[in-house]
Amino acid sequence: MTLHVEPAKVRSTAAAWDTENLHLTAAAKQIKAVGTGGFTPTVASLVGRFVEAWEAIATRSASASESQADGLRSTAIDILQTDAKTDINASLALSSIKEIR
Amino acid sequence: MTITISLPPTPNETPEFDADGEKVQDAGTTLRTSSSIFDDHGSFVGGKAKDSGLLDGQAAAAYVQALSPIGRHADACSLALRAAANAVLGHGDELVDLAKRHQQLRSDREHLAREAAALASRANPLPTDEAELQRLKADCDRCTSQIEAYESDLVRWTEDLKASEDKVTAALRGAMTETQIDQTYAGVADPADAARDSMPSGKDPKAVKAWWDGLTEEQRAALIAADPEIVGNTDGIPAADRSAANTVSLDRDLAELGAIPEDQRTDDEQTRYDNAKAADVARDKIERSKDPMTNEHYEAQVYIYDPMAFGGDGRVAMAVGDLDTARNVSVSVPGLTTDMESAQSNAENVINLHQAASFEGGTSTATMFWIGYDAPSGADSAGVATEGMAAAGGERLADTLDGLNAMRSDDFHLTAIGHSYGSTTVAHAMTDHHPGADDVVLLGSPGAGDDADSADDLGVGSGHVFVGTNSEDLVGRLGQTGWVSPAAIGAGVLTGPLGGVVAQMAGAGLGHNPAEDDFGAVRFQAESTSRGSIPNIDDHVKYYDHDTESLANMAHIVNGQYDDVVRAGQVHDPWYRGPVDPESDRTPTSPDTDGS
Repeated sequence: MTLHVEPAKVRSTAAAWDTENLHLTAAAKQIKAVGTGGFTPTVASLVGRFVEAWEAIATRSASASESQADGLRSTAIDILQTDAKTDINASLALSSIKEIR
Repeated sequence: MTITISLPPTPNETPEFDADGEKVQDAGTTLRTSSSIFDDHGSFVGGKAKDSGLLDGQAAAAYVQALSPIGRHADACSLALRAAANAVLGHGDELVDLAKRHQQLRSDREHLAREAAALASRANPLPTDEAELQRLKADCDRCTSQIEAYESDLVRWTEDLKASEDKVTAALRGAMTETQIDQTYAGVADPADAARDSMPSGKDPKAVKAWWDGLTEEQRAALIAADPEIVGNTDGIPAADRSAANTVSLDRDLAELGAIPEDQRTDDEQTRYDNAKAADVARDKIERSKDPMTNEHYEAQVYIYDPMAFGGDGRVAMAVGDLDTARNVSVSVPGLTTDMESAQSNAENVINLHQAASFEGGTSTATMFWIGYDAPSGADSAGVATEGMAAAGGERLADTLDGLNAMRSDDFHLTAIGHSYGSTTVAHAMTDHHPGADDVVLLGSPGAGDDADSADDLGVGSGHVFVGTNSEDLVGRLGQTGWVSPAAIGAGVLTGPLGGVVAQMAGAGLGHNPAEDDFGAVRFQAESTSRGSIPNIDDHVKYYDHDTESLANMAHIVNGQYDDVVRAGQVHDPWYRGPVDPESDRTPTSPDTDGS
């Protein structure tokens, strides 16, 4: 019987999504740190709003990446659980699908 | 005869202006780095993310289908944030210029207001002498005309400020919501793509320069954000653009890897992070240092940033000053135990050299440290026992020197400086590849490489090959001197990591001692007041120290002040005894190199 999942690949792709989450969270943090101090008063308040908006955009993108990672793992686990009814290898593979970071 | 005198008006006040263009540039740089993270995210979603490992047809198809809008949105975010970053960077540049003009306006206004008041005093009471009245009229007319010019400049300044503010606010307002971003940027081709595709395939720096010059400003800005690793490390691209790209890479590494908990970093991530932090410390060191003559802070240019090169040893080159415009440029090549983590001490060396060059009268200088080759360090230390790493490094150094020459269209003065094993590397670059350097400096050299029998072989003329060797520098004694075999020196007694490497060099045969008379180079004084009484390693690492003979002489060489270089007697090798160094009997001096 052939597994419907490549566990190692699921693990690495999901981990890569987790890393994207961390990178985009870093971007959000970086954007939040942008100061408005050097700008003229005419521009400064808009920069403040821009920074706020983009911190939120980066944070949402980070969360979406985390969801992708979790979703991929969850889908793989669902498939493997079905496979496990007939394939001992699927049972063994199930334990390898877990979040690393 | 009637003389009509119109007193000049009081000039309008210069408005308050406390914007800081450099801070705005920093804000733009940060936004550009963040845009680069979105760019990478888009590339991930469009590439590696597709390989899910799901083999079930329906689940796999659903997964891939869901990726498309995510990737499209990430690419749109990247383009939108990059556009905003570029607008902020441009605004920062304009504010720097506006601040200079504002300062001039303020000074003009003060002067003109004083002059107008003085003329009013002269006119009250009016002079009775006609000649004096004529002079007063002429002075009033002249002052009025200057005030009109001032008012006109003030109007132009105000309009330029408003135009700059309008431009940046329009750019920011256009990318405030995700709906706006997707409407404007989703599916839009990245200008970096076409620019990258047109890049010349070889590594001829002149072809690269021609290609770069042929790109639009938008394409260049796009490549800096989207492909910082390429732009930052390709010879022929101007240093300011390379530095902008390497700043994106470095700041992105610091942000991304810093966000990963230390115990979750892979070995590669940890290596990259450690090297990024080392580069950041070096950059910070440069930017916190000041020119002793102008008291202005230095600017750092990150000319190379490649933290995973050479199996994780890394490559980095950083300059104090502007490599694109400085009249005098030097490239310092370190030797033993060098890897990216030694960036800080190398930064200190080139800061000292820049300060000394400035103190000695140099007004347009850039001094760069170059950790651009796989130097003997750590487990690689065995490599020092052969010339292989120096020869390979020489080729890389020649590429860098060729790149500097290609990116400049003017006639500037270029000095290649090698310390320790780095001097062997510099010598190999010069003898094997003939890059266009004007002067060569070999410091504490264990040998000028097997390919150089004399200074002439380095290709710049023996009068432009300078050698600084402290008479008690153990490494400086390791080159082939007359009939003396370097292996005859009792190197086996040395201990410790550096001592072990020197012990290996003792038998390495890295070529001729360039301080020897037969070699024919110009030896300059490089003794230290804290010189040891026997050959030692401490005297090997003092060449860049402030208030030393060597730093003062190097500063003169970098400045092209050849007559000020204090010559030293060369090592000679009488048939009846071992090599003789006349410098060992001279009392060292301590020339001031920074005015402190």
